[in-house]
This record gives sequence, C-alpha cells and structure tokens, in this order.
Amino acid sequence: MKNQPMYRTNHQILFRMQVVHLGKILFNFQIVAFVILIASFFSLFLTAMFWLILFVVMLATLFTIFINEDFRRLFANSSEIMDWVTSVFAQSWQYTVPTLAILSVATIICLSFDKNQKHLGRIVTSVIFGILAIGVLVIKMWGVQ
Amino acid sequence: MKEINLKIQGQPSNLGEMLIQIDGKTVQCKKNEFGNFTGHYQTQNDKLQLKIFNVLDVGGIFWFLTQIFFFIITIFGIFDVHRQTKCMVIDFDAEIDLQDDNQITLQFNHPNTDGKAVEISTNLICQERANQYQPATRAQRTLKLLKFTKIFLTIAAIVIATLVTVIKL
Repeated sequence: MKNQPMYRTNHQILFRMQVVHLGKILFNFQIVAFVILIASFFSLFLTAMFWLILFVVMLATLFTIFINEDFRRLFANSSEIMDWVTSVFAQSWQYTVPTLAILSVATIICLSFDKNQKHLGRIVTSVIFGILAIGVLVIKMWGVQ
Repeated sequence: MKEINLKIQGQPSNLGEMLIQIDGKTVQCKKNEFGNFTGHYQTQNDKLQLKIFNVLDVGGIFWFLTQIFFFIITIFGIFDVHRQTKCMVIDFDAEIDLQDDNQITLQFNHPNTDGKAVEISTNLICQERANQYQPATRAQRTLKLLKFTKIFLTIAAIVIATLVTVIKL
C-alpha cells in the first residue's frame, strides 16, 4: 500500500475554524454578560444573600469569627458595602445590554462560518439573548422617558 | 455524463474538517437530517480517483499566535472551548470504475492506526491504494509546544501578579 502525500493545510479552512472557535468564545462571554445583566435585575436580592452568607459563616464558626477584626469591620460596614454593590449592579445594564447585543450578533456571524456543524443551540441562545438585550434597552429607555 | 452520489457516514468530530476530492476537485458535501453528509459529482470519465483528507485544527505560526491570543482574552483559558483534537490524518486514495448508477457510501472507522480508515460500500469496482489513519507527528509537536507555552504564560502571570501585590503592599 503506497502512501499518498499528505494534504497541505488549507489556510482558508483553518481561518474558518479559528472564526468558529472565536464564535464559541464570544458565546461564553455572552453567558457572563447575561449573568451580570440578570444580577443587576436581582441586585436587591444580593443584600439578602449577603446577610444570609454572613449569618451562615457566623453559625458555622459558632460566632468565634467575631474574634477576627477584619470580619468585625466587614460586619459593621456591610450595609454601606451592599449599598455600593447594589448601586453598581443597578447601573451595570448600561454596559451589559449593548455588550450582550453586540456579542450575540458577533457570535451568530462567527458560528455561521461553520459548514460541518449547525450550532443550533448556541445560535438560538444568542438570538434569545439579543432579543432580550433589545427588550431590556426598550424597557429602560421607556422608563427614562 | 455520469453522476456520482456520495454518502459519508460516521465522520469523526475530533479530526478537524474533512475534504473529499474526486479527480483533484473538492466535492461540496451537505449535511442531511440524519447527520450524514451527501455529495454529488458529475464526470465524463469512466474512472475516478477518490481521495479523502482531513484538515486538523493545528496550523503554523499564525495559528499558534491566534491560540495564544484566545488563551489570553479568555482569561487564561477559563472561558475558552476545550477540545480534544486527535492528531491523526486520513490517508485514503482509491480508483473507482464508473457505471450508469454510481452510489458510493463511505463509512469512517474510529481513528486508529490499526485497520482501515474508511469502509467503502459500492456496487462499483474499487481499487484502494491507501486506506489508513496516520499519526500527525508535526501537529502533536505543535500542540505540545502550545500546551507548554500556556503553562509558562499562566505561571508568569501568577508570578507577576504576586510581585505587583508584594511591591504595592
């Protein structure tokens, strides 16, 4: 059996593979942007969550954690910290919404280069995220007016 | 004019992109609803030369730099896509005598250096010249180098971050 010469790497195909790879990475970033966007909606719950975590830590250490000075300081300033976190999250939609919209469009474009796989799940999710981003933008703009 | 209908089954997903060439021309294949690929080709010849290649997702220096760029932008691979590329190339070359009805089904076997790469099912007379998987040593070396570069970059980033923190404190 005589070996044929190996096929030389086709740069066009390799470039397409890299674009698809980038599309998958952008999709992962999209998930992060979506989580931050959701967190901004539920930022009020963060305060409750923070207090719950503090309470669990106190119970788990049988309140001996109060010996730690850093923890006492954190406990004393927790309201201010949470106010700051809540205000940051409440304003984060201004950045996350356009980011999510741009990422969803970029993901769909990049993934559409793949000729072997359809990436239906990722594309459908990106479309949903894009629509969601536009929806949030419309609601927020309506609220501002 | 003779028409050839190709059906490709069991294409391994970790071997990059497949290229099927008839008489040196790449056949455009489409995925059907069952996940198999189908392709059509027309020729006036009585014989055809069928070759199959796979393009691994491993390239030269530009590819290497792109991977490093992806590694950095995904915060040291946290948000990257972790794939397992099997560093094997298909070596398939066959000569097929054509008739009026030309149906060819290519069934890919699991990538392994032992045994055949592709099982060919057809009513036509087929003479196989090469049909095996071969290890892509150059791709293996490149992937190993990429792995070591990523580890080195991660360690360098940790060291720099630690130094910056220590100096600031």
